[in-house]
Amino acid sequence: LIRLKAVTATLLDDEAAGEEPRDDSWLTALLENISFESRAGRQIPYRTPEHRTELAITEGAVRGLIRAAGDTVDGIVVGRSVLIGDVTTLDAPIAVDVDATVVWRNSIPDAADHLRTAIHDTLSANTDLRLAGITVTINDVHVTTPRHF
Amino acid sequence: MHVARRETALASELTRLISTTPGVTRLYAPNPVVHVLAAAERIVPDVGVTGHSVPVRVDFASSSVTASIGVDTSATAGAIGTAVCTRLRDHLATAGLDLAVQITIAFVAA
Repeated sequence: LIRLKAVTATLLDDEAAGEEPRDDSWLTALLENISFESRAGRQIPYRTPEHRTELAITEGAVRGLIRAAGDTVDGIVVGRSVLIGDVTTLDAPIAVDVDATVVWRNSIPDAADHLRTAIHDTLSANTDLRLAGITVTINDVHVTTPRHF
Repeated sequence: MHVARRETALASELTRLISTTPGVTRLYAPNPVVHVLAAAERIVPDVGVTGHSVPVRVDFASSSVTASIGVDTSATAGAIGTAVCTRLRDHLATAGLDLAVQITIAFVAA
């Protein structure tokens, strides 16, 4: 058993040495995104007519709204989203950049259009942001194995 | 101590007021962490558990009332937030207090 253990360890070392270096970039990207999305971020104001009253929504909550809007669109999965511009100033033009993955067999232009519309409608209804543009970048295609019943 | 007691009493009243505003799911601590990743946040309203709410912060020294709230999608986030502000303003006016009100929507339960 002792000899077997020693030989097995040597074989594993040899096998590992012959393999390509492991690519951990996806894990780093995932952890960075979790860290990014877990921050509340900037305070985005609403118009409030009442005296001495401030109402705001956090950037993190808005990112959650963008993700929720993405959930309503078939065949697309929203990844990272970024609000570009001075969101802390009312009426400042804001751009939204969204990374997304399309499920294979869906039209990429159609999916991106539907996502843009969903995000626009959600943000228009729930915030006072002045949207100057929404850019959707499809950075991956999710391939699913067709099911045969 | 008297001021502290008044602050605590008012904070308790305002917390109850916000918690009972339609569309408000709970009050959050004013920390920089947002709860978007917690699937549990979506489950909590479904199972009828309100979770641990953080009281409204009342500070007579700076003449301010601040709170971070979570809202659902029964109305738009802005409409629910505005309703909260209006209720607080009305209550403060009734109590003869002119305090600044700062409400932050920290989470939208989609």
